[in-house]
Amino acid sequence: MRWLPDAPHPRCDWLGHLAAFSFGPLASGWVKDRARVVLVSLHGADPADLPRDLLESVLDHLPVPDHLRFPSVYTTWQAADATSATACFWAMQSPWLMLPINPTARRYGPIRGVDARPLEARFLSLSDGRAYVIPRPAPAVSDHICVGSSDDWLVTADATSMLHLLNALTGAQVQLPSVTTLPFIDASSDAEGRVVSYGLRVGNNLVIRLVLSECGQVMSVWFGAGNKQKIA
Amino acid sequence: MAAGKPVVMVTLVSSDGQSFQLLEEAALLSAMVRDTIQIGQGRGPAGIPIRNITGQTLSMVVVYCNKHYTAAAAADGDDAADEEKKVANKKQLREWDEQFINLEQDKLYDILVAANNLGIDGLVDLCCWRFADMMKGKSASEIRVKLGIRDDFTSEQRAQIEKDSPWVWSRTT
Repeated sequence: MRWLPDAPHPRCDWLGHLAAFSFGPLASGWVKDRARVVLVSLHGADPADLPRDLLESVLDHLPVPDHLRFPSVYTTWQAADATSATACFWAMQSPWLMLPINPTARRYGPIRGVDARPLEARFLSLSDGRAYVIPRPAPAVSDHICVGSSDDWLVTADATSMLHLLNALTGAQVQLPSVTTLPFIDASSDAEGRVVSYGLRVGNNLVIRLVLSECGQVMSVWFGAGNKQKIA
Repeated sequence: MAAGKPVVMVTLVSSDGQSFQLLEEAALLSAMVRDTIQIGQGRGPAGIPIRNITGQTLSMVVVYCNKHYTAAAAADGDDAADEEKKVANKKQLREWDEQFINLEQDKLYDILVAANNLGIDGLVDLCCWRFADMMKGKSASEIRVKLGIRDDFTSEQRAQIEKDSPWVWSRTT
Protein backbone atom coordinates (compact mmCIF):
# COMPACT_ATOMS: atom_id res chain seq x y z
CA MET A 1 0.00 0.00 0.00
CA ARG A 2 1.28 3.42 -0.87
CA TRP A 3 0.81 5.88 1.93
CA LEU A 4 0.83 9.62 2.16
CA PRO A 5 3.91 11.46 3.43
CA ASP A 6 2.11 12.96 6.38
CA ALA A 7 0.50 9.68 7.36
CA PRO A 8 1.84 7.60 10.21
CA HIS A 9 4.02 4.63 9.35
CA PRO A 10 1.81 1.77 8.14
CA ARG A 11 2.91 -0.52 10.97
CA CYS A 12 0.99 1.71 13.35
CA ASP A 13 -1.75 3.13 11.22
CA TRP A 14 -4.46 4.80 13.26
CA LEU A 15 -8.08 5.85 12.84
CA GLY A 16 -7.64 7.97 9.73
CA HIS A 17 -6.75 4.87 7.75
CA LEU A 18 -9.24 2.38 9.07
CA ALA A 19 -11.21 2.54 5.84
CA ALA A 20 -8.16 1.65 3.80
CA PHE A 21 -7.70 -1.57 5.75
CA SER A 22 -11.32 -2.50 6.22
CA PHE A 23 -11.40 -4.64 3.09
CA GLY A 24 -8.45 -6.74 4.21
CA PRO A 25 -9.23 -10.31 5.14
CA LEU A 26 -7.71 -9.93 8.59
CA ALA A 27 -8.75 -6.35 9.03
CA SER A 28 -11.61 -6.46 11.47
CA GLY A 29 -9.79 -7.74 14.58
CA TRP A 30 -6.62 -5.91 13.68
CA VAL A 31 -8.37 -2.60 13.14
CA LYS A 32 -10.36 -2.99 16.33
CA ASP A 33 -7.14 -3.51 18.26
CA ARG A 34 -5.56 -0.47 16.68
CA ALA A 35 -8.62 1.69 17.33
CA ARG A 36 -8.57 0.66 20.97
CA VAL A 37 -4.89 1.48 21.25
CA VAL A 38 -5.48 4.97 19.88
CA LEU A 39 -8.19 5.57 22.45
CA VAL A 40 -5.97 4.27 25.22
CA SER A 41 -3.04 6.38 24.11
CA LEU A 42 -5.23 9.46 24.17
CA HIS A 43 -6.28 8.80 27.75
CA GLY A 44 -2.99 7.68 29.22
CA ALA A 45 -0.24 5.19 28.60
CA ASP A 46 -1.07 1.60 29.43
CA PRO A 47 1.47 -1.02 28.42
CA ALA A 48 -1.22 -3.65 28.82
CA ASP A 49 -2.87 -2.30 25.68
CA LEU A 50 0.11 -2.34 23.35
CA PRO A 51 -0.67 -3.40 19.80
CA ARG A 52 -0.37 -7.10 19.20
CA ASP A 53 2.75 -6.93 17.02
CA LEU A 54 4.56 -4.98 19.73
CA LEU A 55 3.45 -7.41 22.42
CA GLU A 56 4.90 -10.18 20.27
CA SER A 57 8.17 -8.27 20.03
CA VAL A 58 8.22 -8.05 23.83
CA LEU A 59 7.57 -11.82 23.95
CA ASP A 60 10.60 -12.40 21.74
CA HIS A 61 12.82 -10.96 24.44
CA LEU A 62 11.46 -13.07 27.29
CA PRO A 63 13.17 -16.24 28.49
CA VAL A 64 11.05 -19.38 28.34
CA PRO A 65 9.64 -19.37 31.91
CA ASP A 66 8.56 -15.72 31.61
CA HIS A 67 7.14 -16.44 28.18
CA LEU A 68 4.94 -19.13 29.71
CA ARG A 69 3.69 -16.76 32.41
CA PHE A 70 2.96 -13.96 29.93
CA PRO A 71 -0.59 -14.98 28.91
CA SER A 72 -1.74 -15.21 32.53
CA VAL A 73 -1.07 -11.52 33.17
CA TYR A 74 -3.81 -9.90 31.10
CA THR A 75 -6.60 -11.20 28.89
CA THR A 76 -5.40 -9.42 25.74
CA TRP A 77 -1.97 -10.96 26.22
CA GLN A 78 -3.44 -14.44 25.90
CA ALA A 79 -4.42 -13.60 22.34
CA ALA A 80 -0.99 -12.15 21.56
CA ASP A 81 0.64 -15.30 22.82
CA ALA A 82 -1.78 -17.58 20.98
CA THR A 83 -1.31 -15.81 17.66
CA SER A 84 2.40 -15.24 18.05
CA ALA A 85 4.26 -16.38 15.00
CA THR A 86 7.42 -16.46 17.03
CA ALA A 87 7.09 -19.86 18.65
CA CYS A 88 10.23 -20.94 16.83
CA PHE A 89 12.27 -18.46 18.87
CA TRP A 90 12.51 -21.07 21.62
CA ALA A 91 14.91 -22.99 19.49
CA MET A 92 17.22 -19.97 19.52
CA GLN A 93 17.43 -19.74 23.29
CA SER A 94 20.30 -21.31 25.14
CA PRO A 95 19.66 -24.96 25.93
CA TRP A 96 18.54 -26.21 29.31
CA LEU A 97 20.31 -28.98 31.14
CA MET A 98 18.07 -31.75 32.43
CA LEU A 99 19.09 -32.54 35.99
CA PRO A 100 19.12 -36.12 37.23
CA ILE A 101 16.07 -37.22 39.18
CA ASN A 102 16.82 -36.66 42.84
CA PRO A 103 16.12 -39.95 44.65
CA THR A 104 15.71 -38.13 47.98
CA ALA A 105 13.19 -35.62 46.63
CA ARG A 106 10.26 -35.26 48.97
CA ARG A 107 7.62 -34.78 46.28
CA TYR A 108 6.10 -38.18 45.71
CA GLY A 109 3.08 -39.20 43.77
CA PRO A 110 0.22 -41.27 45.08
CA ILE A 111 1.76 -43.77 47.42
CA ARG A 112 1.91 -47.13 45.74
CA GLY A 113 4.05 -48.87 48.27
CA VAL A 114 7.70 -49.05 47.27
CA ASP A 115 6.88 -47.85 43.76
CA ALA A 116 6.28 -44.25 44.84
CA ARG A 117 8.49 -42.00 42.70
CA PRO A 118 9.14 -38.29 42.56
CA LEU A 119 6.77 -36.65 40.08
CA GLU A 120 8.93 -33.90 38.81
CA ALA A 121 11.64 -33.23 36.29
CA ARG A 122 14.22 -30.54 36.94
CA PHE A 123 16.06 -28.34 34.49
CA LEU A 124 18.88 -25.83 34.79
CA SER A 125 18.50 -22.74 32.65
CA LEU A 126 21.95 -21.55 31.59
CA SER A 127 20.73 -18.10 30.56
CA ASP A 128 19.49 -17.10 34.02
CA GLY A 129 21.40 -19.66 36.08
CA ARG A 130 18.30 -21.03 37.79
CA ALA A 131 16.78 -24.44 38.18
CA TYR A 132 13.16 -24.99 37.20
CA VAL A 133 10.86 -27.79 38.18
CA ILE A 134 8.22 -29.38 35.99
CA PRO A 135 5.74 -30.93 38.36
CA ARG A 136 3.13 -33.47 37.40
CA PRO A 137 4.31 -34.66 34.00
CA ALA A 138 1.79 -37.25 32.95
CA PRO A 139 2.38 -40.07 32.41
CA ALA A 140 5.17 -39.76 34.94
CA VAL A 141 8.57 -39.54 33.33
CA SER A 142 10.52 -40.20 36.49
CA ASP A 143 10.83 -43.88 35.67
CA HIS A 144 11.97 -43.08 32.14
CA ILE A 145 15.54 -42.73 31.05
CA CYS A 146 16.32 -39.71 28.90
CA VAL A 147 18.16 -41.02 25.85
CA GLY A 148 18.42 -37.91 23.70
CA SER A 149 16.92 -34.60 22.68
CA SER A 150 16.15 -32.41 19.70
CA ASP A 151 14.88 -28.83 19.99
CA ASP A 152 12.01 -28.88 22.50
CA TRP A 153 11.73 -32.66 22.52
CA LEU A 154 13.30 -35.12 24.88
CA VAL A 155 13.46 -38.76 23.85
CA THR A 156 12.76 -40.99 26.83
CA ALA A 157 12.74 -44.74 27.21
CA ASP A 158 10.57 -46.56 29.72
CA ALA A 159 11.29 -49.78 31.55
CA THR A 160 10.34 -51.89 28.50
CA SER A 161 12.46 -49.73 26.15
CA MET A 162 9.40 -48.12 24.63
CA LEU A 163 10.45 -44.74 23.29
CA HIS A 164 8.50 -41.57 24.00
CA LEU A 165 8.93 -37.97 23.00
CA LEU A 166 8.37 -35.42 25.75
CA ASN A 167 7.95 -31.74 25.03
CA ALA A 168 9.40 -30.11 28.10
CA LEU A 169 7.57 -26.84 27.48
CA THR A 170 4.04 -28.04 26.87
CA GLY A 171 4.08 -31.38 28.63
CA ALA A 172 3.01 -33.11 25.42
CA GLN A 173 4.11 -36.70 25.15
CA VAL A 174 4.15 -38.79 22.01
CA GLN A 175 4.61 -42.51 22.15
CA LEU A 176 6.79 -43.69 19.33
CA PRO A 177 5.99 -46.98 17.64
CA SER A 178 7.39 -49.99 19.39
CA VAL A 179 10.89 -50.87 18.31
CA THR A 180 9.53 -54.29 17.37
CA THR A 181 7.82 -52.64 14.36
CA LEU A 182 11.32 -52.44 12.91
CA PRO A 183 11.88 -55.59 10.89
CA PHE A 184 15.33 -56.20 12.30
CA ILE A 185 14.31 -56.21 15.99
CA ASP A 186 12.63 -59.12 17.74
CA ALA A 187 11.19 -59.00 21.23
CA SER A 188 11.26 -61.87 23.68
CA SER A 189 8.35 -61.90 26.09
CA ASP A 190 7.79 -63.74 29.34
CA ALA A 191 4.74 -65.83 30.14
CA GLU A 192 2.68 -62.73 31.03
CA GLY A 193 3.48 -61.04 27.75
CA ARG A 194 5.95 -58.52 29.17
CA VAL A 195 8.98 -57.79 27.06
CA VAL A 196 12.09 -59.07 28.75
CA SER A 197 14.66 -58.61 26.01
CA TYR A 198 15.20 -57.58 22.41
CA GLY A 199 17.19 -59.24 19.70
CA LEU A 200 18.82 -57.22 16.94
CA ARG A 201 19.39 -58.61 13.46
CA VAL A 202 22.04 -56.37 11.94
CA GLY A 203 21.59 -55.71 8.24
CA ASN A 204 23.47 -53.63 5.71
CA ASN A 205 23.09 -49.91 5.05
CA LEU A 206 20.49 -49.45 7.75
CA VAL A 207 19.33 -45.88 8.29
CA ILE A 208 16.90 -44.61 10.88
CA ARG A 209 15.83 -40.98 10.76
CA LEU A 210 13.56 -38.91 12.95
CA VAL A 211 12.33 -36.00 10.88
CA LEU A 212 11.42 -32.86 12.80
CA SER A 213 9.83 -29.70 11.46
CA GLU A 214 11.40 -26.28 12.05
CA CYS A 215 9.43 -25.83 15.26
CA GLY A 216 10.42 -29.22 16.59
CA GLN A 217 7.20 -30.97 15.65
CA VAL A 218 7.69 -34.62 14.83
CA MET A 219 6.94 -35.07 11.17
CA SER A 220 7.80 -38.67 10.58
CA VAL A 221 10.04 -41.53 11.51
CA TRP A 222 11.82 -43.29 8.68
CA PHE A 223 13.88 -46.34 8.47
CA GLY A 224 15.45 -47.81 5.46
CA ALA A 225 17.52 -50.75 4.33
CA GLY A 226 17.76 -50.07 0.66
CA ASN A 227 14.18 -48.83 0.20
CA LYS A 228 12.70 -46.14 2.46
CA GLN A 229 9.60 -46.84 4.50
CA LYS A 230 7.65 -44.43 6.68
CA ILE A 231 6.49 -45.88 9.97
CA ALA A 232 5.00 -42.87 11.76
CA MET B 1 30.48 10.43 6.01
CA ALA B 2 32.32 11.20 2.80
CA ALA B 3 34.39 14.42 2.84
CA GLY B 4 32.84 17.32 1.01
CA LYS B 5 29.38 15.85 1.12
CA PRO B 6 26.84 18.64 1.63
CA VAL B 7 25.25 18.68 5.05
CA VAL B 8 21.49 18.34 4.65
CA MET B 9 19.28 19.00 7.62
CA VAL B 10 15.64 18.07 8.04
CA THR B 11 13.14 19.45 10.48
CA LEU B 12 10.68 17.26 12.35
CA VAL B 13 7.68 19.04 13.84
CA SER B 14 5.93 17.44 16.81
CA SER B 15 2.16 17.38 17.35
CA ASP B 16 2.48 20.29 19.80
CA GLY B 17 4.42 22.39 17.32
CA GLN B 18 8.02 21.94 18.55
CA SER B 19 10.66 21.76 15.80
CA PHE B 20 13.72 19.53 15.87
CA GLN B 21 16.51 19.89 13.35
CA LEU B 22 18.75 16.93 12.67
CA LEU B 23 20.98 15.59 9.95
CA GLU B 24 18.96 14.01 7.18
CA GLU B 25 21.08 10.88 7.42
CA ALA B 26 20.19 10.55 11.11
CA ALA B 27 16.51 11.10 10.37
CA LEU B 28 16.65 8.40 7.69
CA LEU B 29 16.72 5.81 10.47
CA SER B 30 12.95 6.36 10.39
CA ALA B 31 11.16 4.48 7.59
CA MET B 32 8.45 7.12 7.65
CA VAL B 33 10.96 9.95 7.10
CA ARG B 34 12.77 7.87 4.47
CA ASP B 35 9.57 7.33 2.48
CA THR B 36 8.58 10.99 2.83
CA ILE B 37 11.93 12.17 1.46
CA GLN B 38 11.92 9.53 -1.28
CA ILE B 39 8.78 11.02 -2.78
CA GLY B 40 10.41 14.45 -2.73
CA GLN B 41 8.75 15.97 0.29
CA GLY B 42 9.84 17.09 3.73
CA ARG B 43 12.97 19.01 2.77
CA GLY B 44 11.19 22.37 2.76
CA PRO B 45 11.28 24.89 5.60
CA ALA B 46 7.97 23.58 6.94
CA GLY B 47 9.67 20.30 7.79
CA ILE B 48 7.92 16.99 8.33
CA PRO B 49 4.89 17.06 10.60
CA ILE B 50 4.91 14.13 13.01
CA ARG B 51 1.39 13.52 14.18
CA ASN B 52 0.51 11.94 17.53
CA ILE B 53 4.00 12.48 18.94
CA THR B 54 4.65 15.26 21.43
CA GLY B 55 7.81 17.36 21.56
CA GLN B 56 8.95 15.69 24.79
CA THR B 57 8.85 12.23 23.20
CA LEU B 58 10.18 13.37 19.83
CA SER B 59 13.19 15.00 21.51
CA MET B 60 14.15 11.58 22.95
CA VAL B 61 13.70 9.93 19.54
CA VAL B 62 15.95 12.59 17.97
CA VAL B 63 18.64 11.93 20.61
CA TYR B 64 18.48 8.20 19.74
CA CYS B 65 18.72 8.85 15.98
CA ASN B 66 21.67 11.23 16.40
CA LYS B 67 23.56 8.79 18.61
CA HIS B 68 23.02 5.83 16.28
CA TYR B 69 23.87 7.83 13.18
CA THR B 70 27.09 9.09 14.80
CA ALA B 71 28.02 5.58 15.92
CA ALA B 72 27.37 4.15 12.43
CA ALA B 73 29.37 6.96 10.77
CA ALA B 74 32.28 6.38 13.17
CA ALA B 75 32.17 2.64 12.47
CA ASP B 76 32.33 3.32 8.71
CA GLY B 77 35.48 5.37 9.23
CA ASP B 78 37.19 2.69 11.32
CA ASP B 79 39.73 0.26 10.00
CA ALA B 80 37.62 -2.61 8.73
CA ALA B 81 40.16 -5.15 9.97
CA ASP B 82 40.05 -3.98 13.57
CA GLU B 83 37.48 -6.48 14.84
CA GLU B 84 38.31 -5.87 18.48
CA LYS B 85 37.53 -2.19 18.20
CA LYS B 86 34.28 -2.91 16.40
CA VAL B 87 33.14 -5.26 19.14
CA ALA B 88 34.10 -2.70 21.80
CA ASN B 89 32.19 0.06 19.99
CA LYS B 90 29.16 -2.16 19.63
CA LYS B 91 29.27 -2.97 23.32
CA GLN B 92 29.61 0.71 24.17
CA LEU B 93 26.59 1.57 22.01
CA ARG B 94 24.55 -1.17 23.66
CA GLU B 95 25.47 0.21 27.09
CA TRP B 96 24.39 3.67 25.91
CA ASP B 97 21.12 2.20 24.62
CA GLU B 98 20.36 0.48 27.91
CA GLN B 99 21.07 3.65 29.87
CA PHE B 100 19.01 5.72 27.42
CA ILE B 101 15.97 3.46 27.69
CA ASN B 102 16.10 3.14 31.48
CA LEU B 103 12.92 5.21 31.80
CA GLU B 104 9.66 5.26 33.65
CA GLN B 105 7.11 3.11 31.89
CA ASP B 106 4.88 6.02 30.80
CA LYS B 107 7.78 7.59 28.89
CA LEU B 108 8.87 4.18 27.64
CA TYR B 109 5.38 3.52 26.32
CA ASP B 110 5.28 6.90 24.53
CA ILE B 111 8.67 6.26 22.93
CA LEU B 112 7.68 2.75 21.86
CA VAL B 113 4.50 3.98 20.19
CA ALA B 114 6.44 6.87 18.59
CA ALA B 115 9.21 4.59 17.31
CA ASN B 116 6.61 2.25 15.89
CA ASN B 117 4.82 5.17 14.22
CA LEU B 118 8.07 6.43 12.73
CA GLY B 119 9.27 2.97 11.73
CA ILE B 120 12.54 3.02 13.68
CA ASP B 121 13.08 -0.72 14.11
CA GLY B 122 16.12 -0.46 16.37
CA LEU B 123 14.29 1.75 18.85
CA VAL B 124 11.15 -0.43 18.76
CA ASP B 125 13.32 -3.43 19.55
CA LEU B 126 15.10 -1.59 22.36
CA CYS B 127 11.79 -0.53 23.97
CA CYS B 128 10.43 -4.07 23.70
CA TRP B 129 13.61 -5.38 25.27
CA ARG B 130 13.17 -2.92 28.15
CA PHE B 131 9.54 -3.94 28.70
CA ALA B 132 10.60 -7.60 28.68
CA ASP B 133 13.39 -6.77 31.12
CA MET B 134 10.81 -5.25 33.48
CA MET B 135 8.85 -8.51 33.39
CA LYS B 136 11.67 -11.03 33.67
CA GLY B 137 11.59 -13.37 36.65
CA LYS B 138 8.29 -11.98 37.94
CA SER B 139 5.03 -13.76 38.58
CA ALA B 140 1.89 -12.65 36.75
CA SER B 141 0.70 -10.65 39.76
CA GLU B 142 4.12 -9.03 40.22
CA ILE B 143 4.09 -7.98 36.55
CA ARG B 144 0.65 -6.48 37.02
CA VAL B 145 1.87 -4.43 40.00
CA LYS B 146 5.06 -3.37 38.21
CA LEU B 147 3.29 -2.24 35.04
CA GLY B 148 0.11 -1.02 36.72
CA ILE B 149 -2.12 -3.51 34.90
CA ARG B 150 -5.45 -4.44 36.42
CA ASP B 151 -6.29 -8.12 36.80
CA ASP B 152 -9.11 -8.51 34.29
CA PHE B 153 -9.55 -12.28 34.51
CA THR B 154 -12.83 -13.57 35.86
CA SER B 155 -12.60 -16.29 38.47
CA GLU B 156 -13.82 -18.77 35.82
CA GLN B 157 -11.03 -17.72 33.44
CA ARG B 158 -8.48 -18.01 36.22
CA ALA B 159 -9.69 -21.50 37.04
CA GLN B 160 -9.48 -22.37 33.34
CA ILE B 161 -5.85 -21.18 33.14
CA GLU B 162 -4.96 -23.37 36.09
CA LYS B 163 -6.77 -26.29 34.46
CA ASP B 164 -5.23 -25.74 31.01
CA SER B 165 -1.72 -25.17 32.31
CA PRO B 166 -0.99 -27.95 34.75
CA TRP B 167 2.56 -27.79 33.49
CA VAL B 168 3.37 -24.97 35.86
CA TRP B 169 6.95 -23.88 36.30
CA SER B 170 8.19 -22.88 39.66
CA ARG B 171 11.59 -21.61 40.67
CA THR B 172 13.53 -23.78 43.07
CA THR B 173 16.74 -21.85 43.49
